[in-house]
This record gives sequence, structure tokens and C-alpha cells, in this order.
Amino acid sequence: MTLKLLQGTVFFMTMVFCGLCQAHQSSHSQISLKQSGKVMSGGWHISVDDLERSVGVDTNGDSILSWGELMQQQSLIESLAKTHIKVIQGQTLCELGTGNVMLDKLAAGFYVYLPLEIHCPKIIRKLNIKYDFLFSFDAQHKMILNIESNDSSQNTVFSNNSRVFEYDSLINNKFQAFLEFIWQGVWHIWIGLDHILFLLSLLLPAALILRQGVWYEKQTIKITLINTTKIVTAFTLAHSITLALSVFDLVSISSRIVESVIAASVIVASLNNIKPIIHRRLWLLTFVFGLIHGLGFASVLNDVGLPAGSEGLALLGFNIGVELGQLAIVAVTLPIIYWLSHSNFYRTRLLQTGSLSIAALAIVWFVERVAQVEILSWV
Amino acid sequence: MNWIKQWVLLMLVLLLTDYACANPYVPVSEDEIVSVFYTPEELKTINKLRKKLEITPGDYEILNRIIVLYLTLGREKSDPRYFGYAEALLEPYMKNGNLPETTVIHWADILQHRHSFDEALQILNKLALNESSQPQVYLMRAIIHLSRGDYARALNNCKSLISRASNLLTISCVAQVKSLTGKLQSSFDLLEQTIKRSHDSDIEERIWGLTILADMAMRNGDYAIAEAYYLQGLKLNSKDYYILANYADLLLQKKQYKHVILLLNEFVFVDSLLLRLAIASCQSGKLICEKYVVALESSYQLSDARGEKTHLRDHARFYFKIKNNIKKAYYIAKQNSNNQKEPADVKLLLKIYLEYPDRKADALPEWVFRSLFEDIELTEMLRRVKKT
Repeated sequence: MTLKLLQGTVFFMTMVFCGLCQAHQSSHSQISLKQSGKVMSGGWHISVDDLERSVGVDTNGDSILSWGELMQQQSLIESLAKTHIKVIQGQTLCELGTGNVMLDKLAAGFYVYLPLEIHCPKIIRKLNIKYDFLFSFDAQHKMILNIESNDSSQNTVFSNNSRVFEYDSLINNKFQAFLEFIWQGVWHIWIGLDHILFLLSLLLPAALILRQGVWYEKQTIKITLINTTKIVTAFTLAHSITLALSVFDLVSISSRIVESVIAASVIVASLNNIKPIIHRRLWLLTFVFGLIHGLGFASVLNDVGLPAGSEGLALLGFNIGVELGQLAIVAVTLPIIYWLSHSNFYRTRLLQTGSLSIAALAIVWFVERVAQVEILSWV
Repeated sequence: MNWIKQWVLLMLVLLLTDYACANPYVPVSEDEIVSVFYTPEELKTINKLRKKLEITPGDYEILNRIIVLYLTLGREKSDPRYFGYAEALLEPYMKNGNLPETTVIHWADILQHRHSFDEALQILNKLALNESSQPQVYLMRAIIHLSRGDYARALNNCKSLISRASNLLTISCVAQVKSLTGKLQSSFDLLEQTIKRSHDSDIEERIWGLTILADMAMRNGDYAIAEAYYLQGLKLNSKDYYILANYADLLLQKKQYKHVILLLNEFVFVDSLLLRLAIASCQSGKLICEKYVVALESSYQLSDARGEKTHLRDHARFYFKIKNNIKKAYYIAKQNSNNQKEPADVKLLLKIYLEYPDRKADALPEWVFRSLFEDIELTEMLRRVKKT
């Protein structure tokens, strides 16, 4: 009894000093999250009064809500969160996990705090966040969302007329966007096997010279480097042009055509090593096909989406990233190619079989992309 | 020794309170009381009616009864959530073109309450075009136009109340507008006579009339007369927040802080009254001042976060009178005057402007100099502004 009296006194005094001088407020809830990698964690503050008026939490109906009674509503509150808060990445619903309810005292009164942990399939960049709790009961209800990531913070207010928020982790951070897109560029060239094989096909004979239709003499390092620079520069220049044109919607070609032509470019480049047709101005061939590869990069970039407000910087970052990715490939493969080009085996066997293998794979891609069928599921 | 015990207890409670204010926590005991709900009787009636409405959603009589109960509760308790409940209930019905006129008027009332004046006017204009017999249509339009400083339109709507509303309501409306267009004394006399003759009038209408009368006396510098009429109004309803706020302003002007504290002590849950209470408490050096200030500040911050612009006049006054942040007060008062141009809005803007150190760099809006309604305070302030 004494304990209850003391608790009652504390509660009363808390209300006096902390809350009762608070005027009636319009209903609001708050979601605060911290984003890191694929996860956002934080919690949802919901007013105890709002819960009582909308879904009823005072189960015994005595108008006094104890902590024990509130704890019994754990599953109800969890289901409210899962029904009314949706976080979508691309087309996939991120998994929403909840913790045990807690209590909090905000300026507007007592709030239930439900810990949230949202797991998305990929590293979080862009999300669609949907919230529709209480609007059908209180049209003036608002939810204040705060997401912290990379030392920046974003706030938005959900209301009856605004129930969706498009979150972009990079929207307020230009430098972060720049760095992020450099990495995206590097990553996309590394995982884009077709781009790598196109480049590799062009580099395979970089240390050789063609005489009467046959590859057989070793070039000097200087000439090899000049050849490589020409090829890489032409590729860079070409794909930078079409990438920018496509990202800013100045050029639009169906991805089926683009992807098919990219496969065709790999076929042409690799077969050209076996039966050389173009060898003097290989950079020109590279440039023409580079234009198409740029459109391919653009489709990747369009999927990721440029951060609003720093589109130009992000595009520059992406291009730099693609170049760095390319240079890394060149840095690894060129010394090997140069070293191997000493041997007869490379000139008469390896170049041909390697190019033929690349061509074979590219033919499969070409068929897949033209006919829209899957033949090889592993590439 | 008793005071030492009380002091120790107070410190203990404050410590616990600060703990409770901090972060999410798990209460020690399941028996700890989280909340004591006060459920007004009307809410119980509403819940029953809502259940009936679920079965017969087309029963507009039930719908209107619920809406009236919500709006009345919202006004009586000064709790904006009831307006939100009414809006959410009405919203799906508003897609239906054949609603009863009273239902549509309730919708306009909700819109007006949340300061969506253009949307409210759009609905009211349609009703007026169809020669609606409902006085609320014209009264609401008059009030919106008046708050925007459009006296000609306001007066036209007041005149439309003739034959549609009581004599007292019509004269109150007309006198209020005319008092702002160079006819303060004659409007005061007309309304005073009308009130004296309307013994059997509706109490709410009478209170409204008395408030307008007292406001006119204030603008005329007749503070004793104003006080008498405010007190008459409060006698009829001691919990009318509008008249309480205006009367408290009169007392604040006379520096009767103790009187204000006594008058408003029990109304801490009404933001507008809490502001007056805070001003009085802080001016008279009361300890509780700080708590009121924290509560108000958090409330204004929440309003800002919600994107609300309904009580900007009070926000500006808070920063002017309590926080002494003239720059912020001036910015908010200017923002407020874009939408609200009532005498109180204009006077507050001028008061802040006169205290604003950078006033030369941040001029008053041009329309302020055209606000020539009779008001001794306004006249004096405009004179000072022109001097500077």
C-alpha cells in the first residue's frame, strides 16, 4: 500500500512538473531511426491517449492504465506497427522486427515506445516508407519521421494527405553522394562481366603486332602502353557521353537492344582477335561500342537513382568509379598479357582459345538478350 | 524542520521527474500507473452512435449528431483531436454530392478551424450561391474575411444574416466590422443598446456580443468599461476560453499579474491561456514560470514540426514577451500577418517592430500603414513608427 502510495505520488508529481502544464495537442507519433548498411534501427513513439481512443488499451475499463495492462498489449502494438508501417526497397518489403514495449515521457504526455529494427535485402540507399496509422480515425494525426545516417539527419512529416516518403540516404550529403557513386562505378564495372570481357578482348592483343593477318611480334612497352591508353580513353570518352545523355533522359533506347548490342560488341571484339579485320584503328571500334556500353551503365545508374540535388556530382563520381574499376582491371591484366606475349603459345594458342571462349559466352548472352530467355543462370 | 522535509521531498521528486522525462524506460513495477483516462460522457454517447452508424452509414441524422458532439467537445475541452476525429469520420462522405446542408457546413467549420480558409470559403460560397438559409454560412464567411482584413466582404456577409439570424448576432457581426472602418463609437453604442434589449437571447450569442463590446471599449481606451463587459461575459460562462484570453490581456496590460494567475491557473491545458499565464508568472518572478515556458516552447516546436500555422500570433508573442527573442518574434509575426490581419495581429506586429533593433533593414509590410482602424494603441504606435 505504501509502495503504491509512493508510486502514485511520484506519478502525480511527474505529471505536475513534467506534463500537466501541457496544453492539449493534436495527435502525433514519432519514428526515429538510425541507418547503417542494410539495417535501420530505432523506435516508434505512440501516444498512450491515442492508443486508448483508437484501439483501446484499458482492457479492464477502469480508466486507469497500469504498466502491466499496457505490457499485455505487446502483440496488439506490434501488429499495429506491422500493418501501418511499411518500408520498401525496390519492389521488396523490408522485414520489420519489434522489441518489447517501453514507456516514455515526451512533452505531449506519456508515450509507448516500440523498438524497431528494419532489415532490407540490400544496403540502404533509396526506400519507400509508408505510414497510415490512425488517419482513418483522426484526420489531423501526424507522424514525424527522423532518419539519421552518415552524420546527416532527415525529417519528414506524414499526414492524412501525405502517407509515403521517398527516402534517399544521400539527399543532404553531396560529398557522401560523390564517394558513394565512385564506389558504385567501380562496383558496376567489376560485376559487369560483359564490360570486363569487352575490355579484355581489346587488351589481349595489345602487346602484339599484326602482320599479314597473323599476330606474332612482341611490341615494346611504350607501344603497348600507347595502344592500351588509346583503347581505354576511347572507351571512357564514349561511355561517358552516352551515360550522361541517358541519365538526363536525352537518349532513350530499350534495354533489350542495348544489352544485345553490348553482347554483340563482345563477340565482334573477341572474334577480331582470331580473324583480325580492324586492327589499325581499334580505338574507333572501341569508341563506337563504348557508346552502347555507356547506355548499359546508365540503366544500372537509373536503377540506383541519382540523389536529388547532387545529380551532376554523383554522375561524375560514377564515371570516375568506372574508370578506376577499368584501370584496376588493366593494371592487373596488362602485365600478365605483356609477359605472356613473349611466348609462342600465347600468340598461336592462348589468344585464339581465350578469344573464342569469350566469343562463345557472348553468343550465348546475345541469344539470351535477343530472345529474352535464360540459358546460363550463373552469369 | 517541516520546510526541510518538504524541500528534500521536492528535490527527490524533481530528480525522479527528470529521470522520467529523459528516455524510454521500463517501469519498475507492473502496478505503476501510466495514465488516468478522463472519458467525457459525450464520448460514450459518440461511441454508441458510431456503432449505429456503422450499421446504417447513410443515416445523416446520426452522422450530424456525432459531428456536433465532436466539435462541441473540441471547443469545450480545447482539444484539437476531436476536430481530427470529426474530419476523419466526415471525409469519406464528402465524396458524395448529395449531402445534407448541415453536414457540409460542419465540414466547412472543420476546415475553418484548421485555418484552411480558401477551402472553407469555396464550400461556403457554393452554399451562399444557393441562397442557404443557414446563418452559419454567412457568419463563417464574415469571420474569415474579417480575419483577412477584407472588411467590405465581411460586412456584406454580416448583412446577409438579417432575417436569417437573431438581431443580436446580426448586430454583433455588423458592429464588429463597422468598428474597424471608422465607426467605432457608433458601433459600440449600437451593440451596447442591442445587448441591453436582448435579455432572452442565446447565451453563446450574448457572450460573443459582450466580448466584441469589451474589445471595442479596449480600442477606445475605456479599460474600466471593457473590464465590466468581460466580467459580464465570464459570469455567463466562466470557461469561455476566448473571453478569458481577452480579459487576461486587459489585466496584463494593467500589469495585474496576480489576477491573471488566479484567473487562468486551472486552464494550463489551453495553449492560448497558458501563454498568458506564463507571461504573468514570469513577469511576477514565479518559480513555475520556467515550467510553463518549457511546456509552451515544446508545444510550439511540435506545431512547427507538424507544419501548422494556426497559432502563429501566440508563437510570436511568446518569443517577444517571454524569450525576448525580438528577431524571431518579428519573423513569426510577419509570417502570421500574411494570413491574419485582425487588430491583435497588426498591433503585435507593430509592437515587436518598435522594439526591433534592425527595423530599418527589415521594413514593415506596406499594408500595415493602411490599417487605420480606430484604436488608441495602434494610432500611438503608427505615430512612433512614422517618427522613426
